[in-house]
Amino acid sequence: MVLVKEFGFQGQICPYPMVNAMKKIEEYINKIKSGEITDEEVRLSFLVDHMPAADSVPEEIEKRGYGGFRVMKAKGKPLWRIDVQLLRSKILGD
Amino acid sequence: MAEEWEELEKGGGWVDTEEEAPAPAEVEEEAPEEEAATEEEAAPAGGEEWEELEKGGGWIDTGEAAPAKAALTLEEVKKAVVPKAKPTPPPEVKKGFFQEFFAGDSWGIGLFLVIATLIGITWIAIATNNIGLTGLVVGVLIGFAFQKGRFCIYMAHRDILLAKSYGMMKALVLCLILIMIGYLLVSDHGLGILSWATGGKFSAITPRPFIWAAILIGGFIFGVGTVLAGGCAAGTSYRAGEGYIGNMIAVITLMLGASMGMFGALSPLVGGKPGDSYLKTFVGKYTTASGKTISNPTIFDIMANQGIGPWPTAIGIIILVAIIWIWKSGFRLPEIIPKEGISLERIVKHKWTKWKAGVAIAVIVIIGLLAHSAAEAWCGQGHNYSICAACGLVRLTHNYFSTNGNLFEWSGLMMVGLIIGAFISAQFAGEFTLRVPEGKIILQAALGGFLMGLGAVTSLGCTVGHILSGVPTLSLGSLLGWFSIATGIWVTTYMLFMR
Repeated sequence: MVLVKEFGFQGQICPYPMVNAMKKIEEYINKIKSGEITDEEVRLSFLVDHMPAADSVPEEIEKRGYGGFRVMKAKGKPLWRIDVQLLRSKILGD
Repeated sequence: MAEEWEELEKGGGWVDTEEEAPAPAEVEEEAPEEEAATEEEAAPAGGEEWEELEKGGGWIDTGEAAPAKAALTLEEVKKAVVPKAKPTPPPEVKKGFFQEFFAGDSWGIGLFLVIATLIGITWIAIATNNIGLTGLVVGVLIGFAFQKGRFCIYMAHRDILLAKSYGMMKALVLCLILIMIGYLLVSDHGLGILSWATGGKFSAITPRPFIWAAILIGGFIFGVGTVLAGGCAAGTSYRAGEGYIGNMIAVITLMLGASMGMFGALSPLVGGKPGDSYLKTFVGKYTTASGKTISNPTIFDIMANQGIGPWPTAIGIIILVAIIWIWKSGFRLPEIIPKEGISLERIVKHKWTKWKAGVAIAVIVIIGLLAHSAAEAWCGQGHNYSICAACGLVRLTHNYFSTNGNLFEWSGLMMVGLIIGAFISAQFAGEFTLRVPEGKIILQAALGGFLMGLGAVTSLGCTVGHILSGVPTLSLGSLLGWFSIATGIWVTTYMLFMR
């Protein structure tokens, strides 16, 4: 089952969106590890309106190897969404 | 849910498991949703159409969460949270001027208007003998390049520490090397374009003075302020042009802090020119090869004392940088022609790589150095220092809010232009929007701006003055300024984000 969470980081500029997104991801990884969350997949979405954050957040996720991610852009609006996929099997397998 | 997403990136292991998320999963979501509702950030904006930009991150399509249900839960979140998200605009609103002629299909008209205006201003500047007006033109170009490439000197330093990433710093170093070559070309060491442009009045850009105590303290304060405000003087100005309210406030408090340091209560301590105030009495003097004692020594002067000319000095520095560069990150030929090909529309609307922005900024800064000196030599509307963003804002305050201001002063107009240029660039990309941060960030930005203003006045330079256009003159003062600004950025980054 998929647990979807969305966090709005609009109005925040570098490096806050990146720092806050990493905090959230770590928080949820810990929740999966401790068994507080038992869903097979946790999907975290971060909404940012600061374009550099749409680069820096995925870069950092990739560097830290948290899981799959994708970057979405709202049509005709300066708004980006970074989705991270935390898979229970992968996190507990590590 | 009305968002239509475009996928940007699917890089790192997102797995497309096509299985549909079953409806019960949504029920599962309901309970934790309350928790999300209590979190302040959980304020999703509604009504966007999303497009996925890239799908590089190993995203696995486990099927989108059933849309109708998700919308329901989002509605609940919206109800529970203090509604920070703006009311959803109807999808087909009447297009404004900027959406139509900049971001839209008629972008060519917008570009024509911008170029025609810039040429018009240049013509007026020459025709009315107000060369200071060219500051506006150079400022628009710099602001445009800064916004397009998201060039950020603060980020170059911060990310070495925070993200262990050296990309922006390398782009900055490339930019500095190019400006150094350009500086040698325009000065009498090379082609002497500067003496020709100023009718023999200036033969080189005056390097910044070696007021070491003021630079050590002022640079550090500037670095602290940069991190708090989320951008240096130039960075915070171009973000103000993009619509960040926090940065707009920082620009205003920067002017306040600078005025207080330069002319106000703190001026006996940090204000004025070298020798004018307590901190600025510590000046490092140097006797050159020709026996002159100067207060703004450069590495060129020191090498000249050893009988080594400016060109061998510059080539030595380039070789040294190249060796470190290749040793650290290998040798790779830069991509000159992009895969997508070159089109005017791409250049105007799309993001530039930091390399392209770095090269563009180097070229514009060299043009700016010439125009700034010409404005001073012909019309007394500038300074023969390197160009400087914080100083521009300081002079802007002085020019327009004091009785003896010079309305056509070059660097003040450059900063006005920089903000306009970033605004235009953001409009072309369809990225301009007013962004309101939370209260804490506004206070932090206001304090950061004030500290930047104070620091810039103390050390007589900011990231642009000391680093971008000062370091290429190899002035000892600017090199020390780079060191102290970087220290301020690193210490504050560590305290704020890494503990």
